[in-house]
Amino acid sequence: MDRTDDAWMVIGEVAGAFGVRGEIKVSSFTDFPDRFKNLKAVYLGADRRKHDVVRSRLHQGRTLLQLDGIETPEQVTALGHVDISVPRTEAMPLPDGAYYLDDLLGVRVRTTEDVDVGPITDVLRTGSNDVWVVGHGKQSVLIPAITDAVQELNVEAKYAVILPWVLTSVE
Amino acid sequence: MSRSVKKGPYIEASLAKKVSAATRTTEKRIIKTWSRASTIIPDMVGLTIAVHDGRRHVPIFISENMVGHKLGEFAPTRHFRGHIKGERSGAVR
Repeated sequence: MDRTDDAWMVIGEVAGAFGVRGEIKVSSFTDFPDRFKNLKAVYLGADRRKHDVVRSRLHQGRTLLQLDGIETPEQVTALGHVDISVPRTEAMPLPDGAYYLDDLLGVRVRTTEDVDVGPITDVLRTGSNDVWVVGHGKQSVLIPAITDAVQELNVEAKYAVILPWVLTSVE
Repeated sequence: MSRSVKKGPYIEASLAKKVSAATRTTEKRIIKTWSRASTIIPDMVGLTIAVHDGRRHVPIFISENMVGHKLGEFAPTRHFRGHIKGERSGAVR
């Protein structure tokens, strides 16, 4: 199995122990609330140790996981705040036109006039549209991820084409 | 206590001027503003307004369901980075 970071998706982090039977409290890093419901196995830590999921349940809005081989709260505490990952191949399917934010990093942005703007280095989530941070430091520009501004986005081929009006503004 | 209805919603004068100029033309441009306290009015729907977050101007596309809210609500001043490899998704809307 591929052990590089790109082959994995972190879906949460061990937040601590719950109860006396070694249940794990999870800090979720996923947009999908039902993510932990039908999980068969998870991989813990940087070395991706595999643990089968015995049971998962919600308690006061937080996911609790019972993993095979972890039966006491002391074993959970000994884990520390390690990442909970799944292979990238088991990532939740997305609707058409949607993308995972980490896939977007490095996508090269250019205008319809073929002017290179730079690579996407960050994505801001605003409550309205997503905003792509293109370029580095003080030279970076913010592009709204809206259909009026983005003509084409190809995450696999790592390029995006934007309309030039998003680079102009009224002060 | 809420704002008196008699006064109407608060919009900074310079922003109101830019919005009315933008609605009169078909040319698309981002409107920059520092006025986070201005209320979103129906005239702004369809415009893209870059709201200052204390460091830079965050471009926000104004849609109908944002009317009545303040511009500052959509340009957070603090960013929780979360986990870089987390299962977070987005889309061009």
